[in-house]
Amino acid sequence: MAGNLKSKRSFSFKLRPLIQGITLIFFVYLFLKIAYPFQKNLATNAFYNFDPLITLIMVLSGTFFISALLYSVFTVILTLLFGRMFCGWICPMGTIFDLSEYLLLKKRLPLKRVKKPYGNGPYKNIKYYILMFLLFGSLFGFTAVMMFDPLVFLFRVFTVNLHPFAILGANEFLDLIRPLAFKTGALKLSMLSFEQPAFSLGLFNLSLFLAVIGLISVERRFWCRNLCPLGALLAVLSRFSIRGRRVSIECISCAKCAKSCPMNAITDNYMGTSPRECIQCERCKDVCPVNAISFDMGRVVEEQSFNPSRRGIMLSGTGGIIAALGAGTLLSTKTTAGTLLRPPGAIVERDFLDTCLRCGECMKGCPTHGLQPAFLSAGLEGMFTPVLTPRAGACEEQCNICGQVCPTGAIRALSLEEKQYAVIGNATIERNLCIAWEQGKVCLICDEVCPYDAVEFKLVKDELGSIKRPFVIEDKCVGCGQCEKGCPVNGPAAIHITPINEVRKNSGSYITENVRRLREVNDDNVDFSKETGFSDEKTMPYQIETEPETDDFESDLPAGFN
Amino acid sequence: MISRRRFIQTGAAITAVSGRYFNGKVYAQGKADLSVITGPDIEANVRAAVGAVGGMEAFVKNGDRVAIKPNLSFASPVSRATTTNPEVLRAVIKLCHEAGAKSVSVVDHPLQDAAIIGEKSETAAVVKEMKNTSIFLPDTENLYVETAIPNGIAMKSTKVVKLLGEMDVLINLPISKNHSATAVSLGIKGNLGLVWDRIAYHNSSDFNQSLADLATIIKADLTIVDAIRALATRGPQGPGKVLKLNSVIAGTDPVAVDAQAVALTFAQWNLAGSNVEHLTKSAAMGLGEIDPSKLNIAKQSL
Repeated sequence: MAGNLKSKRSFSFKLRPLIQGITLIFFVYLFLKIAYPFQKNLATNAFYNFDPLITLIMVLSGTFFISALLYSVFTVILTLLFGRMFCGWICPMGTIFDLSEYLLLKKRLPLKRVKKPYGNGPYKNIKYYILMFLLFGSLFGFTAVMMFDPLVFLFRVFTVNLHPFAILGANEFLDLIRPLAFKTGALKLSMLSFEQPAFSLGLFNLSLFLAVIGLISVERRFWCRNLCPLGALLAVLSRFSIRGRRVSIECISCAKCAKSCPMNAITDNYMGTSPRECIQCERCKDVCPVNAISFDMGRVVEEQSFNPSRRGIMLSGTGGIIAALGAGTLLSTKTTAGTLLRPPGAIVERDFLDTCLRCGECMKGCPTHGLQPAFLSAGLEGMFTPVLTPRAGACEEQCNICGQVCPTGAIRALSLEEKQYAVIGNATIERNLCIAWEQGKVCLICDEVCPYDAVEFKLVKDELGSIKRPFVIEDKCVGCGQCEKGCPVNGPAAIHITPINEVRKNSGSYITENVRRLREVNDDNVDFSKETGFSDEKTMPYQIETEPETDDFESDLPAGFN
Repeated sequence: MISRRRFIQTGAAITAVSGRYFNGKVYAQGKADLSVITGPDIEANVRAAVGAVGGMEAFVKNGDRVAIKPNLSFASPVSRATTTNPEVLRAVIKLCHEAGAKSVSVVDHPLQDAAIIGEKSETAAVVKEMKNTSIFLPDTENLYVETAIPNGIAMKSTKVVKLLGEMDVLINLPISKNHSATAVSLGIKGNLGLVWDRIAYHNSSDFNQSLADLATIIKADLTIVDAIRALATRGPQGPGKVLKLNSVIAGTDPVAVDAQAVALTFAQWNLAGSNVEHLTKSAAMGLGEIDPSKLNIAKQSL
C-alpha cells in the first residue's frame, strides 16, 4: 500500500524554487541598477517598501515616514492570510539559505537527524527577544539593530562583499585575456576594466554573513527559525493564518514530514503544526508516503504553544530601552557629532541615526566609493552608517544618487542643483604639509580639481620667495573633497575637509542668495600678474592697469589677424 | 610595411604636402606649417585649418587606426569652454574617416569620474553618433604601461595608456584655456590625459619641466586647437571668462601651435608663448618653435 501511494510532486515543489529564483534575481537586478547613471523608479526600493519591520521601526522611532513604506501593508495582509509565506517563497535571504543547504549540505554533511521532541527548537524564542529589543529600542531612539533586518543585511553583504569580489574576479579574468584581445584588435575588450570598489568593515561584515550561513549546519534555516526579527514579526502575525498544513487520518506516523521540515514546525504527533514557524514550503506534503498532508484554507489549530518566556520578553524589551538610553549617553553621539562628513542632503544627525537603515544603497550608488561604512567613529549606533571619506573618493559635482536611492529619506532626495549647494563641510589647508606653502612647489592640484572654484591662489612672499599659495574661499566651498582626494602629499592630505560650516536641514532649500551671487563670474578686471599661472613679472611685457575696452570678440578679431 | 606610428617615443615633424580640395572650395595651399582659421561655421573652420597644413590625407592613410585626444576632463557644458567643443570633435572624426581611417578611437583619462563623463559630456556623446568610432576613458592602472623618458629631466618614466600602442596616428585636440598652475592647458599640457599618474607631474621637482619631458615621448602627428570658445580666466575648470573666438588652429609643431593659441586667446593682455614656462622649456628641449611668426602661417577668415 505504501508503495503504490507515493506522493506526486506537488505543484509548489516546482513553483516555489522558481518564485524564489525570480525574486532573488530581481533583488540582484535592483542592486546592480543602483549605479551611475541612476534612474529612480517604483521598483528601486521594492524590497524595503514591502518590509513591515522597517515600517514599524520608522513609525515607532517617530522620524520621517516615506509613504512608499505603506506597501508593507500588503505583506502584513499576506501573512495574516497565508502565514510566513514571505519567508518561504519571497525572502532572498531565505532563498540563499535553501541554496546553500542544497549546494553545501546535501552532498557533504548528512542533514542532522532531528531528534524528538519535534517542533520545539531550543532557540526559537530568541528571535522574539531580538524583535522586542529592536522595537523598544526604536521607541526610545536606538534603531541601529535595524542592520539585522534580513533584507538590509543582505543588501549590505552584496554592496560591501559580494559585488567587490565579483568585480575583482572579472578584472582578473579580463587581465588574463587582455594581451590576446590586443593582438586580435578587439580594442573595446582590450580596454575593458572595472573600477574596483573597496569598503571598510568588509571583513567584519563578511564574517557576520558567513557565520549566519554557517549556522545552517547547526539547525536548518537557523536564522529564520531563531534569529530573524522580521521572521519574528511575521510569526506573531501568522497566529490566525487561514492557509495551513492539514493531516488526514491516513497518517502512519512515519515521521518523514517532521524530519523534512526546515523550520521544525511539526509537532510530535505529526498531526499538528505551528503556524508561526511554518513557511508554507510544502516539503512535508511532498515526502509524505501516504498523501496524508494537504495545504488548505481554514484556520489551523495551533498545536504548539507560543511560549517565549515572559521574563525573556521583558528583559529584552528593557534591554532595548537601556541600549537606547545608553547609546545616547555612554557611546557618544555627543562626542562624535560634528566630526564626521555625511552625504550631501543628510538630515540632522539625531534623526539621521534614527532613520538610516544601514543598508548600503548609497554606498553602492556612490560612483567614487567615497561613502564608506562607519565602524565606531559615529558611536556604536552609527555603525554601518555612511560617512564621506574623501581620500577614498570625493563627492562628484554632477551626481546626486545617494539621496535618490535612500529608502527612508535619511539622505534627502535633492535635485542636482540643490545638492550643489548642500554644504557637507569646508576645506582647510594644513600649511606645513602643503608643498606649495612649505616647499614653494608649483602644485595647485586643489585648485585644478575644485568644481566650485573655491580655491584661489595668491602670491605670498616669504623666505622661499614670492610664490603662489592656495587659499580656500569658504563661502564657495561645499566640502566635496575633490581637493583632499587629489592632494599629492602622502598620508593625510594637506587640504582636508572638516564638517565645519556643514548645513543639515530636514526640509527646505539649501540655496542662499549669497552663494548664488558668489558663483557668478565677473572677470572683467582680472589681474594677470597675480593670478592665472603666467610666468613671473619680470618676463611679462604687458600693461594691466587699463581695463580691457570690450569683451565682444565676435566681430573683432584679435590683433594681427585679417 | 613600415609602421606609421611616429607619435610616440620617436618623432619627426611631418613636412607639409600640396594643398587639397574640399567640397569644391580651395583653401590655403597646403604648404603652411600652421593655420589659423576664423569663421562662423565650425566644420568649415576645421576643414580649412587642416587643409592648409596638408589635408588629413597627409596624416591619415587608408586603413590607419587613429587616436584623437580631446579634452574630456569634465562633464561641463559647452558654454563653459573647459572641454573640447563637440562639433570640433565631430568634424575631426569625419575628416579621419574621409581620409580612410579604419577606426577612430577617442581617448582621455579624465579628471572627473569616468562614468559621469561618459554619460553627461556633450563631447563624449558625439562618438555615439559616428560609425567605427569608439571612446575610451581608461581609469584603472592596468590599462597603462610603464614607458621610459630617456631625455627626461624632471620625469624619467611614466605610465602611458596601452591603447596608443595599437594606433597608427595620434591627433591632439585640446581646447584653448587658461590653467592656474601652468598658465595654459593646450596640446602639451593635454598629453597628461594619456598618462596614468598625473599627480606625479605636479609632485615632481619641476612641474613645467616634467610636461616638456612628457612631450619628448608623446608627439602627436597633428595638433588642432579648438578656439571656438576659449577660457581666458580661472582655468582649468572655471567657471571663468569665456571668449568667443570662433577660430581653429592646426599644425604639426606642437610648441608653435600652442604658442599661436596663446597669442590668439590672450591677445588683449599681450601674452605670448614665451610667457608660458612649459612652452619655453619644451622649446629649449628642441620640441618646436616658440615664436610662431618664424613659421609659414596661413591665416584666413571664412
